Amino acid sequence: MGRKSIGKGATRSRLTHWNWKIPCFLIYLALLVSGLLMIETRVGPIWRNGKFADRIPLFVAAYNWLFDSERMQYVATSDMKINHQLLRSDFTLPAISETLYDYFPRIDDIRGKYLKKDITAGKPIFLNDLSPYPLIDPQPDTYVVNIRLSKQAAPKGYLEPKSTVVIVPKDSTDKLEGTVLSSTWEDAPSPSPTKATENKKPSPAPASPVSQTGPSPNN
Amino acid sequence: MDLSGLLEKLKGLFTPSFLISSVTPLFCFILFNGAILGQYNHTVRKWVSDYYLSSSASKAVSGAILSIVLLVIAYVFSTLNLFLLEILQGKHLPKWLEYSLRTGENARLDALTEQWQNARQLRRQLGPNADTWRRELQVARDQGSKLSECNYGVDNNVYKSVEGLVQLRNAGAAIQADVLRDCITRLANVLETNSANLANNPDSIRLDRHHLLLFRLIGYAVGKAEDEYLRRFNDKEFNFSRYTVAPTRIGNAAESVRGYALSRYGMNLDFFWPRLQKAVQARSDFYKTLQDAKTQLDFTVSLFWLTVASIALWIVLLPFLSRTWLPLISVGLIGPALAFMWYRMAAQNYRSFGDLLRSCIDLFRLELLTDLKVPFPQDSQVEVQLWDRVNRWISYGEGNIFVAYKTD
Repeated sequence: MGRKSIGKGATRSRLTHWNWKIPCFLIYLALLVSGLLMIETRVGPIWRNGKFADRIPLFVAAYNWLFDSERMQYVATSDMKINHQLLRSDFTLPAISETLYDYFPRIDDIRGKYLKKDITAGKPIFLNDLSPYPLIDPQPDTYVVNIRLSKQAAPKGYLEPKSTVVIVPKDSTDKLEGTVLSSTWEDAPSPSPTKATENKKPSPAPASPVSQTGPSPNN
Repeated sequence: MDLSGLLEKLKGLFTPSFLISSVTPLFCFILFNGAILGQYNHTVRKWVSDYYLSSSASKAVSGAILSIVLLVIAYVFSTLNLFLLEILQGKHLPKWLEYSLRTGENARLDALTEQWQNARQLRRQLGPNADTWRRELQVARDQGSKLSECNYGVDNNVYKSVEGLVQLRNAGAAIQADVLRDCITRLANVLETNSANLANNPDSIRLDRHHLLLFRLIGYAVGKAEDEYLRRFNDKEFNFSRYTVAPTRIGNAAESVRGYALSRYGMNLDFFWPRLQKAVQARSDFYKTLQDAKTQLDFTVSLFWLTVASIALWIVLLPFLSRTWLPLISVGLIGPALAFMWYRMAAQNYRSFGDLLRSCIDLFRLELLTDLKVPFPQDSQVEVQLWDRVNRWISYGEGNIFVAYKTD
């Protein structure tokens, strides 16, 4: 009996304790909401053609990445074939809120990479569809050999795709004839513009030396 | 004065305790708020980038000036530490808030007291009966062992009851006396009418196992009740004073130390603590531990108040600076959670600090008597009377109190 009365007293006391916490919490909440309203009155209220993405870009970007990742990718500006080496002019930002552009992949993660599959204009370019090296398509009755050449005295574009070459191993006199499938010319990295300086409609960039020696789509 | 002398002097001025409890939180505060301000203020951003691009000499000069400014602010801030701690103890608060907070603490004390009383009652119910119950089971088993049959399947209600107690034990819960008593009575009835000694009989083996299990469960229930009683007692005793309830957790942790000195020795701790410190300082290891605990406490108190200041600052400023909701929502939600965490940590640190203070009282009070040239009491009762007389003589200044001096 005594225990029960103590229990009731504690419960009543606890409720009294909460009685003042709830108003304090509501006042604090009202303060936060009034702060949000103040932001709205400053930047133009969201209920008049405002976008949620402009107000909570991180959340919208996170949502898009999780549930609508196509929206958070650069899109192709033209039809491109497999093994095409991407230039800056080959892809552009999609038509979504500019505040989300900060959450896009870095341009350098895409520029200079090779497509692993065909892509049509306007479609998103996923990082998974890119490779740092061109793909070699195996053919029946062929022998594919990767050979790394030091630059030596060879000029750029010396060995173009489809060029016919003859290989003679040092310890053999057998001559092996073959066709160049792809070639890349690795230069020292040049300074690239930051994302903030990118235009929304990118102008065609000058072709890099790599693209001059890159494999043709028909290869 | 040469530079090394000045540095030595500065080193003495800025103790590790000061650097940890005041400078570090303030540095974090400036860094955090500067980072937010840099998002909205071009001047701050430019200053930071200029600083990084500047020459080493320029960096050193700017760094030195900033460090001195930081140290001066930290020093001023450290003088506020006691006041800020007192606010957390529930002092200097508006009456309405003090009343509301104290109501909450009273509720917490009521709940703790209720739990402690329940634990005490359970301990009283279980402890003296444990052996009787074990004997009761054994007698029932001896009686049943004369029979040659056993019917104790897994669908038996008694079996389920015992398994229920096992589940309580596995959950680490206390077993109530009436539940245990009921189970013992029912199993004793089963043991009386069934033999638990039949070989190759699954029911008999099961009954034998449950008899042993219940035997152990009685021990578990008694031990758990004892442990629960001690834990609840400690919770109540080290979180609250016996004499008064403060409006906050930290206040009650502080009051519990004061209450400890008064209830155990009749000592007025507020008055005797500075005198007791002299005896503690003589034991450098213990004193260092005490100082470390105080530093930890001051560190979390500083972090709490600086977090509150940051929240207040940005809740006011962000509506005028930000174009997005997230910064304001983040400050509004994460800030209070962080402040709450610092407060709880401060309360925890105060409890640890309080434990050390209690140890100080226990270990060094007699040395204080030596310092006061007062002879040691013969026993604990005389000691309480002695401290009462010393209190009245020194603390309260009552002139008609007689305290003998140690003359040898």
